[in-house]
Amino acid sequence: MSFLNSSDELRYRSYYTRSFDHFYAEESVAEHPAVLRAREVAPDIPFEMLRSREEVPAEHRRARTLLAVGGRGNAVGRCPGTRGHICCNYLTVDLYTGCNLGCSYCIMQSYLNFSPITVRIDTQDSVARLGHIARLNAGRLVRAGTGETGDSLWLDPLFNISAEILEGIREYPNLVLELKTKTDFVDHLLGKVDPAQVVFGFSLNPTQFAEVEEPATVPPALRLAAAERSVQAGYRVAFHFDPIVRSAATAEAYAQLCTELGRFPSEQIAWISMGTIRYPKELRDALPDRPYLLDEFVPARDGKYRYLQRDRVELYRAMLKQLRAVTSAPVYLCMESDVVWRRVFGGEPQELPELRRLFEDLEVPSVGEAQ
Amino acid sequence: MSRLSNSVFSVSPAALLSGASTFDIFHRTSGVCVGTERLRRGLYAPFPVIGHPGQGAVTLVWGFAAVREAAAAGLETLNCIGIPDSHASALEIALEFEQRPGEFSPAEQYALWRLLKAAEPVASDVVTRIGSLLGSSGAAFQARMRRFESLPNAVRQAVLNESIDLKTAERCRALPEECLLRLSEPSYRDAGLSFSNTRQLLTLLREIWLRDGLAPADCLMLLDGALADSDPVAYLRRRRYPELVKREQRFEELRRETTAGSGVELSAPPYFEGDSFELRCRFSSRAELIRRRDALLEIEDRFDEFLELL
Repeated sequence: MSFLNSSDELRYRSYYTRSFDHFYAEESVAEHPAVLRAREVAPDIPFEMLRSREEVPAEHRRARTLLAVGGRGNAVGRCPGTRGHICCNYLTVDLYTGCNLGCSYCIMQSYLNFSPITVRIDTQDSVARLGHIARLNAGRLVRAGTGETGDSLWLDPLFNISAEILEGIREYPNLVLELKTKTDFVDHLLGKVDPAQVVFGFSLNPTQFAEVEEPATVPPALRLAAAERSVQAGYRVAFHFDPIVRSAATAEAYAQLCTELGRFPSEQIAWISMGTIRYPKELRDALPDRPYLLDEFVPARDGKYRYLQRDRVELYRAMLKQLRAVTSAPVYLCMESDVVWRRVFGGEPQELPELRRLFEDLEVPSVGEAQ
Repeated sequence: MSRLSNSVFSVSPAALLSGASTFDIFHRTSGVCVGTERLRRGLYAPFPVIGHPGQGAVTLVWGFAAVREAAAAGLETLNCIGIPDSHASALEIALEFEQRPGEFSPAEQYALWRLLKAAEPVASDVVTRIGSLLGSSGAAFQARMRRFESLPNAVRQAVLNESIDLKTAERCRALPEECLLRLSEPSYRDAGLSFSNTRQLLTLLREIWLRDGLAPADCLMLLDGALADSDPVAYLRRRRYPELVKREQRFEELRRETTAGSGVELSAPPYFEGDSFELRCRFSSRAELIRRRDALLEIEDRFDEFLELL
């Protein structure tokens, strides 16, 4: 097990064995090195090969089942963004679908409840498409991430897929892969992948909120410790305050979290994002009754429910002020309206020198166009 | 209706009504109105019954309203036809006679469900056919009934009374029983709320109750306060969304104070999301134009107060 050291090996074997009851792999990928690695890391999870994902028994279609699928073809797309809101031109690579970290605000929980955690093993096509996009946008920064429909690093010590992708994109220096996570699972990559093309992104929320609402994640303090190890190993990190949830209890805790980012050299923080909690109306009923969901939400221009605009602006301004006191790293808003951008930053991202490069328009060809 | 036997026989309305009322479950007006005159002239399909008068009491399966009508009109006998002694099959025949898929009340559906359950085991094809006669699928009917049965009694009652629908009932099932019982009482019915308003009212009540951690008595007081108001939904909305409502009220005040009677229409962006207000006006005389202009100047004077809202 060359990619894990012996203490990590023990930690992850125990962790994944506790997390999963079954491991299925489609025939086409059963002998794929990533699947073989996973079986080596967690040999105690009962493994079975299937002709296709449809063969997963109904009683195992749940988050305690791991399913490795082939699924060649396009898994790269633009971040969905939302109508009437400013998008950061981020590319998403769908490697993982689902996770069982159990965040109460995660809308995926509601529609993936009866699905196994699915890992798309074959990354060749995604790497090729990322390369094509990078070539088309030479000279511009292309940001991609694997954390849209799952946590980028949660299963990485099992399959080690991120290293494969990073190896595949080495020849495209303008392409950066962000590995966004609520874990501290970075050590298997430190020193083994090129620091120029990877950013370790950590979602942050106050500890007392995370303890209750993100029950199976790694505590924020440990995520920050992992960020520190990454920085010490020469990597860049990112921080995501998303979803920001307001309450009398969290205001002070967010301020403290912002202050803690002061211990990271600004030049090693690739970016920091902020986004207040939001949800589409049709999924409200699927979310559990948590106290923070009983705040005042109104439909924004994209139909998603958010805090009142004026309250969001106040929250962002306060956090930006705290962040600016400790770092000069780029800070941006996730899925926010032009109005909020102007009120918080005094302009839209294209008008702000420190953000222009991050928000540059990219040419993303439709699937099937010649590569 | 191959399950009907071929022999038609006569039974008096009194005998039909004195038999078991097991199948007297349809309370809405039947899709098939027989009418006294047709009954008198014998122009109707024979009433399905279980049993035969020669062998003891008969159980009427369908047509209670018509038989009562016949009894009231003094008819001596009605044509009946025997059907197999099986609840499931009898229900199917009754539904075929009823002919109103999609229009059965919750109480009728639940009565049907209970009869079906009493007749267990029921073949799945019978459930499928019954579901289709009800206007849905058998699986959907079963699922709906199981959801209904999982509700607390007080909420069930409100669904059977048609005070609330099943979806709303499920959302508010955890409300204090005192509040749920209120939904079956006259004070609730007097408020004349539509299903949609009821859903909004109970959703708001439930969220306030959860957010504020209200004691059952306080929750009931809040509901009663709402029901006594001319607009119960707005009453609870003020409590649930104080900040939004405060802004809406403030905007209304400002709008009234600056534009009332001026012919200028002023609107804020929906939910105060955005950075601009909209003005609309027309004029066809100098006097009108001056009134509009004065309103605009008034708005300009209070510009900061408007901007405060966004």
